[in-house]
Amino acid sequence: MSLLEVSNLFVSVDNRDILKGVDLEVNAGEVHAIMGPNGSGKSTLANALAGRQGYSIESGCIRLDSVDVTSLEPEERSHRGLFMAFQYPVEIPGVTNIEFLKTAVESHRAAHGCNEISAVEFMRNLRSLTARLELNPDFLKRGVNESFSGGEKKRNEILQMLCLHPRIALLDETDSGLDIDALQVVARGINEFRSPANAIVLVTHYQRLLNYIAPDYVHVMMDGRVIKSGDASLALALEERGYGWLEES
Amino acid sequence: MSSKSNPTAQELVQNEYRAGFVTDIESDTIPPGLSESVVRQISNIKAEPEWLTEWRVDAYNRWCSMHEPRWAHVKFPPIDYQAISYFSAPKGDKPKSLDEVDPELLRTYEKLGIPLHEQKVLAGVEEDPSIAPVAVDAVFDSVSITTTFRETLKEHGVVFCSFSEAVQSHPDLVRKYLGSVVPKSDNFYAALNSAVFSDGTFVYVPEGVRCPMELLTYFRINAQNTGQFERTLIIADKGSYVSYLEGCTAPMRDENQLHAAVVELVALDDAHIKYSTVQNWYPGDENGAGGIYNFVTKRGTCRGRRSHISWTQVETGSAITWKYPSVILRGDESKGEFYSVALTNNRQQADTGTKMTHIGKNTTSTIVSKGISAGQSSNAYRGLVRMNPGARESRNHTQCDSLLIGSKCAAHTFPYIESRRKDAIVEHEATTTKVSDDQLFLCQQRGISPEKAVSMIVNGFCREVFRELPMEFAVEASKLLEVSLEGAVG
Amino acid sequence: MADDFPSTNSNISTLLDRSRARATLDQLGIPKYRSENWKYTNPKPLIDSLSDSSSAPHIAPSSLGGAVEILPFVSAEAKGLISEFVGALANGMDTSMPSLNLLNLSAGYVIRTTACGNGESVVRIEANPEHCERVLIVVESGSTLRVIESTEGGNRVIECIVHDGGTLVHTRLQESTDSLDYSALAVQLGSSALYQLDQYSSGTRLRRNDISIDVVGEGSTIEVKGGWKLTGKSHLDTQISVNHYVPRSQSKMKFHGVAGDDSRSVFNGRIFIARDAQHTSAHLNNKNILTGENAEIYTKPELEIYADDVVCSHGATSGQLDEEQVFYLRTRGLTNQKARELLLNGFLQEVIEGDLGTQILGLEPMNLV
Repeated sequence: MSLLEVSNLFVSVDNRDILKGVDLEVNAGEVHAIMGPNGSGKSTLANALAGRQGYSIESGCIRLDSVDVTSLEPEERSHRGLFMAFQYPVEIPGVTNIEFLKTAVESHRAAHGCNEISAVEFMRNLRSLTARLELNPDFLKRGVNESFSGGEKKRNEILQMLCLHPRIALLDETDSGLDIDALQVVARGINEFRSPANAIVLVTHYQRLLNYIAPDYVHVMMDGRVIKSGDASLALALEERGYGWLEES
Repeated sequence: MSSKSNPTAQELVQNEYRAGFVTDIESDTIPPGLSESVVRQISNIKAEPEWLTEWRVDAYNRWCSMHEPRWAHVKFPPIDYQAISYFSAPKGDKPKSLDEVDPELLRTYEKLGIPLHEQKVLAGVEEDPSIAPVAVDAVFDSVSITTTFRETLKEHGVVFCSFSEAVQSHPDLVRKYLGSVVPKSDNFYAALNSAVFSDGTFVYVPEGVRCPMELLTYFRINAQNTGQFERTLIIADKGSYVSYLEGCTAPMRDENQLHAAVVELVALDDAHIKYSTVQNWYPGDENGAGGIYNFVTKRGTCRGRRSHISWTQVETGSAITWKYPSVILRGDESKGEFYSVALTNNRQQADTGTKMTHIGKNTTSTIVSKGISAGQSSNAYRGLVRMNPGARESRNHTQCDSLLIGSKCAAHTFPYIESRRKDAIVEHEATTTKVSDDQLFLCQQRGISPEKAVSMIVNGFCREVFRELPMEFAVEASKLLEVSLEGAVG
Repeated sequence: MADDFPSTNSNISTLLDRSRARATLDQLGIPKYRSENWKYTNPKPLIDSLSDSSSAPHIAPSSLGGAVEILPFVSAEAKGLISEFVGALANGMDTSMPSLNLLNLSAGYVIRTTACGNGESVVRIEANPEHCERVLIVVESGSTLRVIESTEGGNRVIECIVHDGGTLVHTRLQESTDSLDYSALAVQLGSSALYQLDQYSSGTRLRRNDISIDVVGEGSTIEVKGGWKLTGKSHLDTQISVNHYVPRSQSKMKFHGVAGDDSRSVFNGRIFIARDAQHTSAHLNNKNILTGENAEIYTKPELEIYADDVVCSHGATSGQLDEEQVFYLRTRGLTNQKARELLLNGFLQEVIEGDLGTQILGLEPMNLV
């Protein structure tokens, strides 16, 4: 049974058609990379899957664990295990990271009928995660993404992912704006997350991240469609030859 | 076909005002109307000395020739001052101990979460031995019902009692300081209060004493067609410290009720007064019917060197708020602070801010104002920072932010800056923003409901102010904000 | 009631619809000291000076090139424009001074672009001390007009209509040092229009500038910069209100003032955003430096906002030169005085750029300190 199933998805933004029939199937334990030039619809796909306002689904269907989630609220999709790491994480001044994470975790637990987690347990877990992501403990007391560096913002996205234990993680350009050290830390976090029970979709412009996280499948998007799918070797071919040769074929 | 429409910030308000019940109790009430004889009658009931009676009458005469201020950014129908009753008190003599207090009144305070027994802390906070107890003065309509922890405070020389009592027990202090910060003809509402004030709180902290616990006055308006005109006077003698809290609620009634209080603070050399308010008067219903008119004059004077007065307010209630807690920085190196959160929803109107008057050398003031407007409400910050010619090397910093929730509300900023001193520095910054769709989406993607997200974002917006509140109040303020915002997201 | 106001009879005033001016005065009354609009400035000398008639001949605006016509109010061609626009914009201002101007008018001109898209037209409006005058500027759709204006005392009201896609670049130099000077400026912008004001004011006995800019067309842009440097006992009062009535326009205002000696500087800047004006961006900043022992600064940046999806900010400061900067320059060999002159110059240069900058900074050396 597939974890995520996207069938014939058409999405418009501001009345402009962006996705023109996307199909994608992701099974537990798999890592998929979605590549493509700027404007090909990669980020639109991620945002539409997460249910962002303004991304109108004109037709097609999104299923998580065989359940149609096409018309669910973003938080309901989140409760069902869908996580999106943002390309540009927004700042929320004054709301501390710790408060934000606790609220998110409690919202998930409440949705699944679980009791509140004890503060001690929550903090223990959180401290070990921040250490693994090489984040300063002070980081938890700062406002969400407030005056974070680019690298801190991206690591914060990974921290949230590790806290929420999603079944499927969509990582939208998580490698952009990272220096090589930060990239390695982020990749390590993603690899730790990887398990036979969950799946990862990496939306990326470059092959760079794929040097650290080996994908099982690579899909190339162009003009709102997946025009080619293959294994990891496809990414290497793209690195070598660019996108032009695909357009011609 | 589906387009995700995250609830916008307007759909969440069917606000339940949780303190809106009426206490069924017999009262002695002076019939509606105001005249010199009513003023004398109030003074007579309280068995006041002659000087105070004459002081009130003088205030009344001045009030007769004054007009309501019109400059505030609020609208309301004319108030008929002859239709208001100026005194109402539960029947019977003032109880001598808690056992004599009418059980109906005790139940009222229990419901409101205000401890009149001396072992408890404020309701809503988990029992925690590390939290110090709070001494409470409970003012019900025009009179003080009881004051707790008096013995403990007495051991430290701290006077914490009702104003009426202080007139009898500490007449010299009252006479010396009453009207010394807010003169009786200061403004229309202050003059009215000076004529008819009923009860309130008196605090005196002697030289060098750090008050051992927080002092709380809880004001409750209960009677119908009655105004509340309390008077608070706090004097911090040299080198002393006191943290004073003020809470207020009223029943839900269809007509508007007037609350015109006066608060005077005096800080002598090296004294520090921290004054915190969580104002939750009944705000009226979603159509704007009923609610309290909160027309309050609050002012402190930093009379001594290095004295320090800090106002923190969280204003969520009242149909109309007209209030400018101010500091006169007279003593050299004195310090004034104003931290404010004002939230308006439905048809509430607020015109609030502060005045910092720098007179002494090296004085500093800080203003942090956070205004949140939702529904069809109107929220204005009005402030004045004045550097007098003697205010050598004085400084002010003002940060004034507005958050808009929904497209029918309004947010205004009117900061007056007057500087007559070249080495004084005044800085004012203001911004206006809304809860952004991106912020809401990030929260929702992490599984947080839009209602919860908005209240979290609003709380974050107010954090700088909340952290100035004593812990018990910070918890209450944060909860209150959540309740007041209910239905504001939609 | 309006008949009690000072008023001179001249040919010109019979051309105008004076009833509107009288109605405004009936409603608002004559400006009064200590009222909200005249809190720090006594308008009496300005009102009294209206009855002084000038001995100097009136100098008409002149064209410096481009497709533009200049019509005196008395001309037949001006008639339609006068009845449509004169008084319509300025008389709505809160201060009622423009209405007194209309009742006392001694000269009036219409300036109008006559072709669009043919490059820029340039007009000079000369100083006319002690005259009471009015100018109507009409920038037709798609055309560009540059106005170079001087004032040296007197009472002048300028009303500007900038039609869709038009551009008005306004440079204003107020240089007199011993005069009574009242100027009102009312601008109305159509869609995708641009209004740019660069203004410099020297200190004088008493100068008041009332400015009101209404955005009634979407996608318009306003850029206002102003600077002043007051010495002696001079008194300057600048009041500006930018009013956004429609969506998607932007405004930026920046004012830097220096108050030396015994001068008084008053500034009131207002951003108004109506309920329908979503997606507006509006910013206002006023910085002041006090250099005089007895100088006074009064500033009030206001926001009045009725729409939620907007980005607005304002800021105001009052202080003195940064001693750290002064010290830095002195370690580089500048005298204390030279260092301060240089820094004050820099402070004003932030708002006085381009032609105005060269003119001002060339005209008078910075000898405030």
